[in-house]
Amino acid sequence: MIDKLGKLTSLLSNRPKGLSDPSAFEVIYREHQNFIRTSLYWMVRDDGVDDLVQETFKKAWMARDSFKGNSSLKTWLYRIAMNAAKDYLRKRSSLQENNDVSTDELQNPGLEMAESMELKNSIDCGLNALTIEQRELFILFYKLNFTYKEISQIKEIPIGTVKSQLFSCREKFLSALKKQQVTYA
Amino acid sequence: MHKKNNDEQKDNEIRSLLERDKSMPQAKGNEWSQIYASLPSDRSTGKFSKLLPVISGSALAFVLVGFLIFPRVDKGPSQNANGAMQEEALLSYLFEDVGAGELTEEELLPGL
Repeated sequence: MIDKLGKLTSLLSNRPKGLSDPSAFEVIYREHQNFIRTSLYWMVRDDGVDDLVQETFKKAWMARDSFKGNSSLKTWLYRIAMNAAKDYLRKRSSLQENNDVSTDELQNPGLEMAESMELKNSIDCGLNALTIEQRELFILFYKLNFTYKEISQIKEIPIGTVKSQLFSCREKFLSALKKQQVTYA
Repeated sequence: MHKKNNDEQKDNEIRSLLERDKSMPQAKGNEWSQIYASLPSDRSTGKFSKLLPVISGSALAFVLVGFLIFPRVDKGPSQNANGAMQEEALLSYLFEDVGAGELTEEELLPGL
């Protein structure tokens, strides 16, 4: 374990020689998989998340030579994950257009699940009111608790743009929730 | 001031709402082993595979240069399908350095 942590330290301190080492890569996976999985789940909101986690780390392994250490490893992995999530959402969106109705909405959950399903559906409704890019900003700020400055660094956009985009996201999200409550009332 | 407080309140309400959502499925226990199994082996991505074209290219160039520089080696008389030397080839091989009229076949090979 100490050996693995040593590899990880050298990996994070400068150009990661250990990134090509599967055992060091496993440490990276253990270190970041929860963050990557949460980020991915809140983007896609279905059980395709595990395939996306796997795809993210596989892509990271394949592209390990391209990591130059200009950003943190966490940010690099996050960007790979978000690209995978956005591709997934685009594909799912075109599939849903063809099928017209999502199969998730046709399932009939048990009574004990009904409340949590209702909460999930409400949040999904709010998230669906946002574009894919807005959804990412929204999750970074409200779910993953990044600051404006950190989001600006991750997304490589000015802080002012982050603030204005988040303001717009919040209003759209809350507006969608209000509309849904009126419909259910 | 009032607007800022109002914004913060909205932010907190959203965070609280998202916090209540526990719909994220449990991670599969063997996730890493699945990922590890899908990682390409070092043979296909390591230094060896990068050097392989260089090594094989150098070897081919070496052989071609060898053919160009060094003369062909005389392989001797040709053989037929059964491995026996053809008579004509054998004679021309044996007598190629003998001047015409200096020695006959009978003088050289009296037993034949």
